[in-house]
Amino acid sequence: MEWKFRLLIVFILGYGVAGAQSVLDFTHEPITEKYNVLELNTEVDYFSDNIQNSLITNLVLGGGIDRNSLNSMLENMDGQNSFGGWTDIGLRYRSLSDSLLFKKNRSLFLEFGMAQYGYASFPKDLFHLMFLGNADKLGETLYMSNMTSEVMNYQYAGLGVMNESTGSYLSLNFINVQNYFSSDIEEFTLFTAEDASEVELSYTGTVITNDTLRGNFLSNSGAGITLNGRYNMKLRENHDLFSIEVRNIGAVQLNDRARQLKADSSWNFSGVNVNELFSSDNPFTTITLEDSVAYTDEQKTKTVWMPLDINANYFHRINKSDHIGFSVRKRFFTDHTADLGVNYLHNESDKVGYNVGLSYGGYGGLRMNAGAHLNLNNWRFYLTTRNLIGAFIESGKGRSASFGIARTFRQAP
Amino acid sequence: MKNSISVFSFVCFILFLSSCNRGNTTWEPEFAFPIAKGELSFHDLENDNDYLQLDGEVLEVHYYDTLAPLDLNELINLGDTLLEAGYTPGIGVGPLPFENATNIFTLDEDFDFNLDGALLRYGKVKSGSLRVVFESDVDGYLDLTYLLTGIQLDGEPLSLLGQTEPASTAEPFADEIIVDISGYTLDFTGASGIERNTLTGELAVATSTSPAYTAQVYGSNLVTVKLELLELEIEELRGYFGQWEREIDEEIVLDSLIYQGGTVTLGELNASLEFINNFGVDAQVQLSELATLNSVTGNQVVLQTTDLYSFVNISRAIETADAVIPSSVTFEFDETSNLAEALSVTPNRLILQGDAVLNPLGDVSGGFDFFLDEYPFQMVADISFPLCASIEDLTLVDTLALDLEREENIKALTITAVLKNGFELGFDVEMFLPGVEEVFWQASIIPEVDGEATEHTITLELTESRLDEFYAASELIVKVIANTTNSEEIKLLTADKIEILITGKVTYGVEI
Repeated sequence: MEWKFRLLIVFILGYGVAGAQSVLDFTHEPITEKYNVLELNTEVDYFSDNIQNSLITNLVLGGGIDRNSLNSMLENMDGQNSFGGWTDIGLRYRSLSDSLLFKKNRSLFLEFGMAQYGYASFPKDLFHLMFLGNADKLGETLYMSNMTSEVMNYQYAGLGVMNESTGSYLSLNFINVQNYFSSDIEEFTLFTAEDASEVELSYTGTVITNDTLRGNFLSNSGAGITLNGRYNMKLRENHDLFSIEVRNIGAVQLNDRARQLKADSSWNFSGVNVNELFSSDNPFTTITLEDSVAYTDEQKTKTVWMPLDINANYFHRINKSDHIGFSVRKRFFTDHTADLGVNYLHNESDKVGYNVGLSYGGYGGLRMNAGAHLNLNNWRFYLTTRNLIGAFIESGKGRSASFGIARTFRQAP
Repeated sequence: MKNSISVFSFVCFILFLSSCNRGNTTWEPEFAFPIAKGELSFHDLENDNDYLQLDGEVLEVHYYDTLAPLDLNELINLGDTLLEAGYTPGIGVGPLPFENATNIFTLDEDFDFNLDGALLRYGKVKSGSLRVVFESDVDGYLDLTYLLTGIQLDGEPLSLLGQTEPASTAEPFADEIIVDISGYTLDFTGASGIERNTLTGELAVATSTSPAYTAQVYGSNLVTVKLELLELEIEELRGYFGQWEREIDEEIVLDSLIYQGGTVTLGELNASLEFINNFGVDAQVQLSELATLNSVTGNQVVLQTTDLYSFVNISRAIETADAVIPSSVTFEFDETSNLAEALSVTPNRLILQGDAVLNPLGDVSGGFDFFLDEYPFQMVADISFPLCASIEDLTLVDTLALDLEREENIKALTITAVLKNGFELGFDVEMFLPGVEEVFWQASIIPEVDGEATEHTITLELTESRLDEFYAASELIVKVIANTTNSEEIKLLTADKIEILITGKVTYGVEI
């Protein structure tokens, strides 16, 4: 439960808010004082076209999931469904240095963190088998072909350079893969005879996973390098800003203990002979599904591309306090479409500001964004969500939260 | 102060968060799956049961068994005899010094078996061992070469070598040798060739070649040889076996199933009891009781048929060049006998009591009795009958050992059996767990109707608590009560069968 609890903290800390870190960057004014910054940034975001929050809540927080709600969820599903999400918690330390690369207003930063991403594209029948079983599908075939999924749990450590005047940055990150799982199931069907006298399984596909079922924190299942970067371009005498950020340019290599399971076969089971039921060598004591299902299991290294994350924004300053922003975000997950958004930002004062907006795309439909930030002396806070409605409705299909806290340490003049 | 408030607020916040933790995530999918299917018929018993004949339309029982073979190994027990011979040097008072590798003496000696009237000429060992113990009180290292000319393999006598170390009268030295004599012949005619029950052995005693030691031999020194035949089984025996009597008192277990009651009334019956004498010995047998017994109910019926309890003389078998032609006496259990009554108690035991006498008239063969292991004395029961019977509350009980590991994630299990009963028999099936009076599961299966099998769907629902009971049990008691409709006589056909399909539905508790 420890991992759930950590996830819970990340989730609650950022509850109710959205993509506003880049928004805050827009409010970033040219530096007049020298200072160093220590930041803690957290983000959790998941959304789906058909998975309701109640299920995710149960999966994350625990508790029983009753069949009625599962049935209700199933009724609202399409034939093919998608789900994706990520979490990230990172600590970054920025140190302004006039001498860095012989340029002013450049800061060097170090960051450490842990992150997880996952997505799946799955047929409705797979959900049925996993959560409801096959007992109510007698005489029918569950079609679960065309299922792809990928989950990676990793830690990162990076070194970067930021232009404090513009907020642009470039960083190099080293990745330690803790857990990895991916599946590409081309064919997967399960037929159960009407009188349950026979089950027939057909399957073709590949599963790749790290060597242990679940590696512990900082355990190594592979390693890699990624580049992250953002370019901010101020336009129209600082009234407008165009920003493009690209993350996860790179790949990881799973170590030679990574398992690749491949199968292209079928399995039919119609019970044992009644005469064998009570014999001493009763086959139920010896057979297992794992032994019966044919597949190859190979251990070798595997290179996996990190899923690119591209985020482009255009901000327009309406007046000193108000801004409007347009955004496009694309994560290279299966079935993920570009997420288009519009945001309105208002700075109530130098200390307090908020934003609201709408976005459309990703895995879900229309989502409402909201956020707020607060500056107090040497402290800065922000809290945003990309899915305001989902935050409060159990029948919603996603939740999102980001939370950040920064402490500035002014340097002596 | 501000810091204190911040820390306090943070702690309160964490406590609030931890209150949201609702334990593990659980859900319970239900999976349906086949367990077993097939047919149960008498053909399934064919391989494990020699008594059933499935050639014809009607099932026939043919019980053929050797009830009480007379084993000559038990009657003439050579293995019980311990033979001992003492050898002395014959050199006066002594002591005389004997250097290394010097012969001290060589002597012949016969061993006589005391066989209670039997006078054996020849035997052949099927399996067994010979234990030889050499004992010496000579003060010296001795090599004892013992040639048993009466025990041979392929014409070569058995030669044994014992070694003793310096000893005294007070503390003699013993050396034991055990040798496998399977396949050896035993010549009981002694050195003269006309003796009986006598084995000849020649002992040569010499000082050892090493270590260097001068043996001191006295005239009173004694070297003893003890012979014992261990776990001896005879393959062939010839001579006069003596006249002896044996009491027969056997209780023969017929089946491991426990019959707890009910009656089976059989129709046509053919049965016989035959004494087959393959021994080259005259025999006389008299049964005092032959009875069927149901050990559970205590019901017992003493069998009766003509002359069954009279003295029966069975003459010796005749040996030809390549065979033994037995003599036999047969008792037929015809319609005048009470065999049907005896079988109606559904016996699981057969009681056999009486007396047998070999060579009742003495050595009429002139010492030419013979016994060949492959031709035993047999008492054979041969019962055959078509299984036409009326059955009333025939109760069978069996106990199945359970050694099951509880799968905690199984929250409920429903087992459904679909049966098609093609028998003219109805069954009431009950299952019990040990120490629990309440029936764990029961079902009634009615007989076929007008040649059509009757179909039954029987469901066993095991909730979590009942599953716990089931998995905790070490055994399952199965009780089957069979009845024919209105106790009418029915024919059990070889084609009769029960078709069975067993499926399961499990509620599986997934917990992450």
